[in-house]
Amino acid sequence: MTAFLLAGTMVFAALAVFLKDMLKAVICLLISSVFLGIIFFRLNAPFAGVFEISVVAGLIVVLFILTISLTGGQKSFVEPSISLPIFLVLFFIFSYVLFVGIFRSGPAEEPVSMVEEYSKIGEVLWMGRALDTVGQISVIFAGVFVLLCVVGRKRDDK
Amino acid sequence: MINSALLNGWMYLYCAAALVFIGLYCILMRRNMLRLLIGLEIVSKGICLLIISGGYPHRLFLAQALVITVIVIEVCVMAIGLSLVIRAYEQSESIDIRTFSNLKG
Repeated sequence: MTAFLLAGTMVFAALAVFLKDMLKAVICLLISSVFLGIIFFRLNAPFAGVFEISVVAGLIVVLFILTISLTGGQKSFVEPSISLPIFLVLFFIFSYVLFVGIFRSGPAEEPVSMVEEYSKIGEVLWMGRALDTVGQISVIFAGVFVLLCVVGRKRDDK
Repeated sequence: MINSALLNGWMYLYCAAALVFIGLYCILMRRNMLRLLIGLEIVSKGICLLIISGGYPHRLFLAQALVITVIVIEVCVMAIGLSLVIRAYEQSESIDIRTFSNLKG
């Protein structure tokens, strides 16, 4: 089941890159996000799974579809396809190195210190990684500010 | 003999690497600006998978907190990027990245 989900994530991500129609590509991206969210749930990470499905598969895809409807998507692009073999060769070299690593390494030993320090996600967010939370809030404010500058500039032009 | 947990870990690592490669290919080789953002999104998916699989099973709360941070930043980047795409389309009636090559230097 895990292998099926991982393969589905990769295949739909690749389809999102190679499909000509932008709307179909974005729908493939949505399906890939849903597969990834299910993987997160199966890895006992429900909060990450909920965020992945609701925010990435929901909000971002809606933003993409809105942009495609405003710009038309523009299917007629001359895309360079010569470098795909180079990427494939690089990826196969990386895969070979990875599989050699699998066959040469033994079972992983778990260090004693790797014990969960927190019992709730809230404790991690507010106590352990409080600076990250402040950073998130700053990024959101910066994003809103940039959006106001970019989108609101049209009124000034008129 | 390969430990099944170890093999599972390598499967996640392999999938994350594949997602990052697919996203990098999309970013480097496509000229449609929407495709560039899709590529960025796919790279971010690979990174999230890597963080969660790296935190499994002992540091899952920490890994989830980091993934939530990554997703929040990703949403902001996508919103800004898509607004810039719309703005660029209004300016030049095109979302081809080569249209804006006169911006260089």
